[in-house]
Amino acid sequence: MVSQIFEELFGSKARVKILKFFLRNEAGSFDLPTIAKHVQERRPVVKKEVARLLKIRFIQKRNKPPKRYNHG
Amino acid sequence: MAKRSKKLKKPKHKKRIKRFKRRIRGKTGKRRSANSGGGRTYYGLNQKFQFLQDLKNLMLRPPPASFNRMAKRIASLGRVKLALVSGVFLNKENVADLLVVGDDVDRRKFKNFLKSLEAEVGTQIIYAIMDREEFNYRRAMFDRFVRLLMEGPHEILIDKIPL
Repeated sequence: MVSQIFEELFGSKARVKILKFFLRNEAGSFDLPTIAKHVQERRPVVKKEVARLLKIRFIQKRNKPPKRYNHG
Repeated sequence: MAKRSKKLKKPKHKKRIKRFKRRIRGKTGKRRSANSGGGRTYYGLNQKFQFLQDLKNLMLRPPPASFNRMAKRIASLGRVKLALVSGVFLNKENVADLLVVGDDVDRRKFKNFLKSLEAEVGTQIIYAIMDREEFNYRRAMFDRFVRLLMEGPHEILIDKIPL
């Protein structure tokens, strides 16, 4: 139910999952294939959503090698 | 004899070089540039995003998955006797997030289920899966893991164990 509300509110299931992914992995940085793998969405969709989130500066580009995806 | 082995060796060696080049250059034969589709750009959360705290409160506080739907999916994995959630699902600290006790649980189905669940939650899920015998044994000997899990905050999804 809750996830349905978010999906409707944010307009996309992928977007909700990507938002959650970044919120739960605050310190990490990830490349597109890694994000796509973890949120279980197709690469082009993830690419589009990441571009959107980048535009509003929710996320930033980083050059550092990624930190490992972990719990918490 | 020496000649023959030389003849055999050369093409093998060349093939390996070819394979190696292919690996680093891809099928097109062009060298991959740092930014072309190989995913060299990394993205991370902007810690100064103005609504960061609000978004966290909004999105991370409610349970990340519907327990009802989870229960149904877990039940379809095999003869599941007990399933409970804790940890990330309740926003509480515990030794694990998910425990499944059942016989003949389809491991491949379980892995798929876990993957989609992790996608929904946004993070790794610490889980344990065991058959009924192991669970009973662990409970009888007051196994630390099972005890902490059962005594800590948790929500039971499926319980078919007669007490």
